[in-house]
Amino acid sequence: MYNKMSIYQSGSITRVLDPIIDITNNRVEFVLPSNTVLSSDMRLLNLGVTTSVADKGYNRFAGTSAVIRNLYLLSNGVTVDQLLDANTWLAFKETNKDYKNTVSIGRMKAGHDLGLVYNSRSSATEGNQLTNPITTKLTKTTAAATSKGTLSLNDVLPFLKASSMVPTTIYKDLRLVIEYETDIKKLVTTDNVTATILSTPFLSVEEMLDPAFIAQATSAYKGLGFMCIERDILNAPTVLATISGVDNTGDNNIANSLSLQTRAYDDKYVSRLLIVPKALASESYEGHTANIVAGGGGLGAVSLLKPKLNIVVNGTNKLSGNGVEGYSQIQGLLTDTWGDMCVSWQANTVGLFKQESVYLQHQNYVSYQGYMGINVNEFVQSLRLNLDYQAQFPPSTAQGEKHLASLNSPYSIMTFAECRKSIMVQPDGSFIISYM
Amino acid sequence: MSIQYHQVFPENTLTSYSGDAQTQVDFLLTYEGRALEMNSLRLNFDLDITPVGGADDFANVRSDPNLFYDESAGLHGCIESCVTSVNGAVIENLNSYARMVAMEEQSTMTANERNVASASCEGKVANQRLTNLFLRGVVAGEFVDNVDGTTSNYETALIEKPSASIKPRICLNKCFTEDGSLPLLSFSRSGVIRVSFRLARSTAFLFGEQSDGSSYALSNLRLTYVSRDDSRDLAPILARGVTNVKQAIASNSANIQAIIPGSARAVSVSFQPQSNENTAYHNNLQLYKIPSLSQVQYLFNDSTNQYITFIIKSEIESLERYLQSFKDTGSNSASLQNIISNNSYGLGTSLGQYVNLANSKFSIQIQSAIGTARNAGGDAVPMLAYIYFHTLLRL
Repeated sequence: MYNKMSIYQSGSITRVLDPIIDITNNRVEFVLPSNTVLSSDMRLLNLGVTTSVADKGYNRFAGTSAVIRNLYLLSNGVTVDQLLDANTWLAFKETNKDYKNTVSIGRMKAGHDLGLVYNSRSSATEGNQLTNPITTKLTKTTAAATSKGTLSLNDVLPFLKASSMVPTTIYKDLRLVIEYETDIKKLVTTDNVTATILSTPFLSVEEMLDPAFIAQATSAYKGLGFMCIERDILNAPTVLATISGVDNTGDNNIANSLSLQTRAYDDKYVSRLLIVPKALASESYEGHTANIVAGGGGLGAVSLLKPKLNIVVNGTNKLSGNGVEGYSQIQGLLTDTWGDMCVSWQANTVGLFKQESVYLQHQNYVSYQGYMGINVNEFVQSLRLNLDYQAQFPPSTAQGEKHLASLNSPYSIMTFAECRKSIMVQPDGSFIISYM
Repeated sequence: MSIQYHQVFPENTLTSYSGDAQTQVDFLLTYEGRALEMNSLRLNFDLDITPVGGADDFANVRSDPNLFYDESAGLHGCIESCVTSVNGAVIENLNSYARMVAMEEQSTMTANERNVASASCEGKVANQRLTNLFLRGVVAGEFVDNVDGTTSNYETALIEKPSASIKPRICLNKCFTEDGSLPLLSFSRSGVIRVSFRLARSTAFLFGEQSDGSSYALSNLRLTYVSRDDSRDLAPILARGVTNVKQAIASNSANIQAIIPGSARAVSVSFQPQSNENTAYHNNLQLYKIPSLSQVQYLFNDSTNQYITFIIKSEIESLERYLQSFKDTGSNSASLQNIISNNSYGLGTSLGQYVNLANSKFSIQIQSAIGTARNAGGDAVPMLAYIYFHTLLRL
């Protein structure tokens, strides 16, 4: 490993790169400087959208980073690292911070809506208590005026996070490819506008200048090990409830018990696993008023009703007994696995008593942070998710209750796993990428 | 290093564990051939509340029963004491457990900072009113504002009991190694570990006008923990423990003395009028202010056996030292408003280093108006001092 300070001492220059390919609302491609050594601290600048109507908020969880659907780092056409559904991952990572970090620089950089604030009411007086006092970034109709965000690529490409430098003398023809998100519900918090992704994202990289240092760093570079983020999507074919008239015990609810096999992690060493259920029912992300998008608009994790989780790794239950059940135990396991999360009060549940008095516009927040996580820490030959939940007939079609459609919906269960990967440089200067 | 998640049920398995009976629940942690991952214990349970007016009292918000729990301690408030035994020997016996959690929480976090998952799953909230809503459970359905005040607001909704997954603040959850590696305790060294909790009385957990006659119980109670492969070449484990002493103060000049087994790095003290202890209406975990504190003095022998004494005459300084006796996170709830309303207040100090207090007494001398203060009935108001020494254990 090289000490970053020693790299800086050898002389460097920061380059701001324009994309060589830019297809509006589709993809951009950057070519990184060749035959040199780059710092791994790379940042994307100028992320954002313009909207047909001004003053719309960015995605509540991912902020301006919601524009990035998939991300690839390629060398000579070989994928060095990639992240699929990067905006779902970024929505999680923005949440995966303690309160202070979420509300400080995080909110300013990304422009998300996390880290709600309690107002000063503490008596039994009715009134809204949890609010977001300021929307940090708003869209405009022109590229010059719209708010923009930045993204450190370390947050999405673990290869960069594990590296202190990136020698393009070894990683030849290094390119960064970004595929954009096109779903308006995932970009901004209003779905009756059109959004155009800014055509001028920049990539900021630091390039070393000293030829002697570049030669020495290249010859010393032997590769690295890192935990890449792999993604898989499972289909949860829910048996839906068809009888209205739920009572307090949920007698007319339908219990769903699924065992979902994932193949994406077979023959890989898996460390931590993240499970992000997404509701497919069309009204699942209806906000407090028409055309307002609730939650992360599909980038967050909807809360399941009466959830229970176990995972079966190589034929053995990872969790003893019934696994984890209920919102609190699942949330406790999540924080033990991934660290603390800035989840607004009870937003991981399907709803809290008189939530109208706790949240300003509770429909936009509650039940959209139902993440699940567990530490696998094993070489996986087979991995199965055992997931139990209930489907409940939506009680009403009123605008303020439409979001409850997420309780009677088929789900797409998105999973992300940290998988151990290594890059070994061969004596001839080529490299081999393999799972460990 | 393969990881295994364990779950154990209490030795005395019941369908429901009553708080009023001060039920003791014992868990035996076994992990033969493996190593316990320290800091991984969680106590999981559902909470059953029986308001004095019956379950209907909670069905409609307009009935507004005045029933709460301490928002900073969360559902740690259900626990009165905790005893941890390794190899048959008690390594930590922590009484007045929930009060310690409330003190630590208010000294290291603001109300807004409880807006995180680690606090939410423990039932911690920002203010008193939200605890009342939490007790009513999780609902999935439409709110109907029935103005009669009795008909349920959620007649057409599934209502689930509130639940919690708390991380007990006991020595097994406050471990570290000197080399910074993951603290793992081999079963060959520890044998079966016993963790015993005694539940708090209902009047110790719940407060408010309706707390007299209301009760609570825990169900679906289980302890979870994590084990890993036992390499048998594990780093020594250090654990931060707490030793508690409780003493009544009835005079203007009080001298509290304690000898504790082992070394301590800090001491934290909180107060409560004796007449409010475990009584209905009052929050048993409220951190009361001492009337007219004029001076506090700490006396002890340091690690070089040199006699140390220092006097603090400034109330602000004494409060600052109390906050530092936990850890200085830069966040706390010690606002003027909170302190005036008898919250977030305490005395204490960091000792600067681990000081062996096994052979010499640690003394706290408090000059205040405790002896002359009178309640509305004209009676003296003796106060209870809860003293917590932050100790270091070697496992």
